[in-house]
Amino acid sequence: MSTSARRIRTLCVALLLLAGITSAGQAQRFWRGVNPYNPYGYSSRVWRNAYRFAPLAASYGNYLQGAAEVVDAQVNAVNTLQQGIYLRRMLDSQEGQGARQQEQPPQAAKAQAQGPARRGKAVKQVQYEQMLTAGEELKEQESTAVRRLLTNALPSEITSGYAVNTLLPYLASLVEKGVHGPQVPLDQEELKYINVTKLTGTTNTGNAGLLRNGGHLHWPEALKGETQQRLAKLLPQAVSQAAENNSVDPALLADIAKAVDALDKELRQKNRSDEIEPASYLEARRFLENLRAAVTLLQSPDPASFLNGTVIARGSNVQELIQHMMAENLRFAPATPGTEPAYLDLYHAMVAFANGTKGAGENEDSSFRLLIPGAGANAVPASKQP
Amino acid sequence: MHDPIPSLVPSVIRAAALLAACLSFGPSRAAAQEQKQEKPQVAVGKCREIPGALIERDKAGAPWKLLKSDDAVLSEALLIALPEAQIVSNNGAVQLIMMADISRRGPLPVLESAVRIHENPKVDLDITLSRGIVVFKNLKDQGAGKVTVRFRGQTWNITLKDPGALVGMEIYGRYCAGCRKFLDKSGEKTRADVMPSFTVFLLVREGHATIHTRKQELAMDEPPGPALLQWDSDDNEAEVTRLEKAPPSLRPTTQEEINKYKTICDSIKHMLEKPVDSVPQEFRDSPDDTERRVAAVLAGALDQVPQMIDALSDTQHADVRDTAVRVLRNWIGRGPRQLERLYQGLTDHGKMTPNQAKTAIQLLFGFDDDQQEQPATYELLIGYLQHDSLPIRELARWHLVRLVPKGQKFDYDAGASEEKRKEATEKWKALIPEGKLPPSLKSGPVEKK
Repeated sequence: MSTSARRIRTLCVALLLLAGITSAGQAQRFWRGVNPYNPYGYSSRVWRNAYRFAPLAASYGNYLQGAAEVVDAQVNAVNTLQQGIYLRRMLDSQEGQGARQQEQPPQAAKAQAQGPARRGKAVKQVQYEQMLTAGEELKEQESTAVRRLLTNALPSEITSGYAVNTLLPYLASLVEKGVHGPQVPLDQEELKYINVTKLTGTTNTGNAGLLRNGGHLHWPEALKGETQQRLAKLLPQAVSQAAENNSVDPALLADIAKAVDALDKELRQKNRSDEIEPASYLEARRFLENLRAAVTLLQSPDPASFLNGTVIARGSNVQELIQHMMAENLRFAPATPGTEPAYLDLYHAMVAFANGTKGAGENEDSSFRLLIPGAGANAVPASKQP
Repeated sequence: MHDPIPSLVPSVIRAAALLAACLSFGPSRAAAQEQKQEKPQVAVGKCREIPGALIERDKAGAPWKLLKSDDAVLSEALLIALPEAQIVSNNGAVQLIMMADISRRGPLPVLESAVRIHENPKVDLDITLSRGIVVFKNLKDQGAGKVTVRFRGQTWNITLKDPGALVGMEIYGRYCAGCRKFLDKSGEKTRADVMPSFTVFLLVREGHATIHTRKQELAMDEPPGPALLQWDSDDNEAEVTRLEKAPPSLRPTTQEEINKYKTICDSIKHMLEKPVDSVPQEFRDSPDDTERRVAAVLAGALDQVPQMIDALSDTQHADVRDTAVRVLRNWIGRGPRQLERLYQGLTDHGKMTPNQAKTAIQLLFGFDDDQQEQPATYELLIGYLQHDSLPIRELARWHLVRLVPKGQKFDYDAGASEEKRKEATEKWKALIPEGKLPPSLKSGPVEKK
């Protein structure tokens, strides 16, 4: 093969591999580490646009950079502490070292390679100094999640309520400290489509989202049939009882629960017998999840308050919403079909609030990013500190 | 046989354009179009080195023929390179290298390169890039080389400003992940909103070049400089990225890669001693694994839907089925009409029920982030491991081992006996119990809801 031909071939290979260069930052979008269909971290607007929400990652990238700085300081600290965790794990057990080595930073691996005696002395000191408590580890995980969600939430994380629920306590903690973020107004019409649930110990009160229309649901084709028709009659009765009496006849609830189980079985059977295609099956399964959450709500102690609009996401702006949600012990329930755009807008509003760039022209120092202690140029001027 | 090139322009746009043309000009324009199509083919280039194979089809329906070094290349003929062929423009000013990524060094499974060269005296080389990688080199001793490249309704004019200037270009089409319905209410046509997306990369490796798109004029240089351009069909925008130095991926080809490349080229040459159209069928059961896989790739390159389906249904060779999945994903990514053709093929040749055919195609799309975070997705896929249809079993396996690499060790073989399949399926079920997410996703949003 001639030199020229080789050079050209190399160029072609480079062209193929360049995707990774153009988009080093994109790989982190796949927060679990590796996208199974894109193991090279190949980036393209094509793939971002796979979702209708996807362009947000690009369009909000710079906009949200400041927000990311909010937690940068914490993350830097975490990176240091992370090494402590690794080192502690090394000492915790003599077994499984091979497997663990994969997750050790180079420093830790080096220390390990230097022998058990040295490891016992030197590393123990590091461990002692840097040992994290369980609470600190949890905080570390949370801050990492917040940092990522402020810049790069996946559409599914937004519509599942995970993103906004993770940001909620973080923003609430800032508000509690007396920090006033920018006024980010909320569209009151859209807010009506945000589902909420009340925390009761380790469980919640379900999701009223599907029952908004008096229990008259828009059923997926894959679920339609006799059982669905029976449920379609039972649900409005239950919603009516819940709204009027704040409770539902247990026998009616039992009938509903039984019918939902039957519907689930029928759906699986339809799938097994190739009566439905995968897209329909997954859509129907997601619908059934929401339906079960709606049944949980009907079984909860105070269903009327969710159905008559007493317990809702409330607030003319993000700060008011945060305060209301925390005061009422509410969390965001997953989006139900058709409400996804409202979740996207709410997420953007919460991120804008965190970023503090909206209205920054009027009072730039009010932005949250200025409140990280020891953040160099971003440090809060003494006169502005709360 | 279907000609893939006309599908370069989205069919809806083509239909609208055709309708508008007919309404505006009536039969005279249609006649002119016909006359244009019947324009005699002329030599527009000459084959140079062909390490693999270069096949040509003069017009739709004509038999494929194998080109050799020094053969003339005819205008409007569809040319497919497997994996590499070099052509020089008629005036000797520009060299065109067509390439596929057979050694899989890159992230994109570029299986073949396909172009059509047009007669255009205004430029040195005028091509329609259908798929794959092409490289242009200015062979002139002095002055610029001019190239026109057409793709997906775009026309770019590339000026290779210096002698020896080297510019590479690649087009890549895929359906975005997401298991979704693709047929409209008639059940026969692809829904208008189900379209593959296309990305084009252009890299200036040596010298300087200017790129004229319809909207932009871009001056590009080798690194350090604005060397990389990326275009996407979704926003129809070209973005240029500055590279400070040649990317690390510009490493020399290793001896191992050279050997592998030679093996594949030799296989292709040997296979194409037979009539081109018969090769995918002829070598599907070859004892040589390279030949089997090349046969599957060739089936896609030649638009042989039945042979692609046969490869996906191969009971003996797991490697052929695995290759067939990539070939099919690549093949449907060429345009929306491909889905209809595959659906037809699966029901007719593959003897699948309509719902099974839809299932197979939806599985080819894959699963988006939302679906990957649904336990139902894994239940569905694990359930399909025991499906009666071998292609559906294979597609389920193909996704599962990618979504949950830990399960690769179960060695599930979609072509194995029912007993063996059941054994491996049980292991999958143990790894991902019903209603649960795979262990690697446990910290994901679903668990934290």
